Amino acid sequence: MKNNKLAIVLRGIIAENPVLMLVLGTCPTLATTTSVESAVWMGIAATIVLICSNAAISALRNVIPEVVRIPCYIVVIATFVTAVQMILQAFLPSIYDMLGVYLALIVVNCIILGRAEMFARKNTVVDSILDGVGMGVGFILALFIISVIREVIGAGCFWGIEIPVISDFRIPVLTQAPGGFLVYGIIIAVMNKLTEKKGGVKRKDFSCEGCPSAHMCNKTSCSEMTELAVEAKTSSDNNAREEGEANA
Amino acid sequence: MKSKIMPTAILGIICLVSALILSAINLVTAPEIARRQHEENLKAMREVLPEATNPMLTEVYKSQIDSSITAVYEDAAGYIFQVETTGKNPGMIVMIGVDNEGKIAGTKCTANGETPTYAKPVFEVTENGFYKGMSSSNFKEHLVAGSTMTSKAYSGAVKAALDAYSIIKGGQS
Repeated sequence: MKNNKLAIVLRGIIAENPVLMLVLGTCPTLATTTSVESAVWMGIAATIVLICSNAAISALRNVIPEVVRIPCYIVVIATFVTAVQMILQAFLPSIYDMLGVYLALIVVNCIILGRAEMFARKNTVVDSILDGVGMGVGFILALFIISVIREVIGAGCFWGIEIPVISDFRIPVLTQAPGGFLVYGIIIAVMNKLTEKKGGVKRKDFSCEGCPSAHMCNKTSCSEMTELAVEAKTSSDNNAREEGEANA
Repeated sequence: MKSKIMPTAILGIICLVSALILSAINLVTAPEIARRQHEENLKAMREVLPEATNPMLTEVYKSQIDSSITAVYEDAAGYIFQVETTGKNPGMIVMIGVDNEGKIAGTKCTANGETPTYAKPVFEVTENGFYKGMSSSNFKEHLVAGSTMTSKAYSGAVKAALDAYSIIKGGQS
């Protein structure tokens, strides 16, 4: 039981890291990782919203009807984001100014809506909170790694403090959009290599074998679904043609 | 019918509960936010018109000046104008100090929703005294390539303050 709870937390940190493995939340990742300070605070804010929204949505999972679940999730998530915004503006205004417009954009962060849809609505409140903690820690970790690279090598600073030797040889493009994408892509490639199973099947784009969420997803693989759809259409066309010939 | 009413009702109830929770949080945070905003305004006023001793908010000129000017503070040393404008995004608030000779004493952006990367080159120049000493007769815009909307909005705010000063002084002569 304890191992299962621990596994839920640990999954979000490495194996299903939302930024580096699931490639979710790319917008705040690239926008706030120009400095370590803003990246860490963005991670903390998103984690608080993620934990609270997971808990609330899990608690309401038997109440919210299927047909309006997405609008309900958005309202719940927006409530927590607005609460965090107001609290930061009142008591930590410097962080509120630092995060700027990206604080409000947490509402449409794919990680939060994705975990609500994939996990919180199917699991208990405790498990959902643990999932939120794991995913949140994974998010902060990913933001921290990317921001350290971008700020140290790109700006020659760490947490706004200039580093003497490195600041003379900085690469400014890393603090801009192209550099952000470059660093992000390289880290994803490194993570893919490190987590690749030794001697196992190489991860395919649309197969369930390599998908980190395979154990939770009830669908067959995307390629199988496509084949099934094509077969169904062909069969339907054949039936229609036979009926036409019979009527003629 | 029931299958349409129930989901709508539940969504409505969730919205209502969310609104109540946010109202409660607002009751706690709003006074603190207002207090901080007032302190920042006072600090900004000291920066844009250093000779000001006791700037007082005045509503006398409200009908005569541009509606983008949301507040006018009158002092023996001059006037401080608070202008609200829109750059790339809405919500840019600029404080402009104008001395008794009609010259800009200082400018400061106290709030904005601009993208930091694009706003930085604008604010770095404008708030290091670019407009200091300018009057209506020798006003020059500061436009930054790549941050045109932000810099245009800032320049427009300063121009609006100078125009308002001219109207106020023209009315007093």
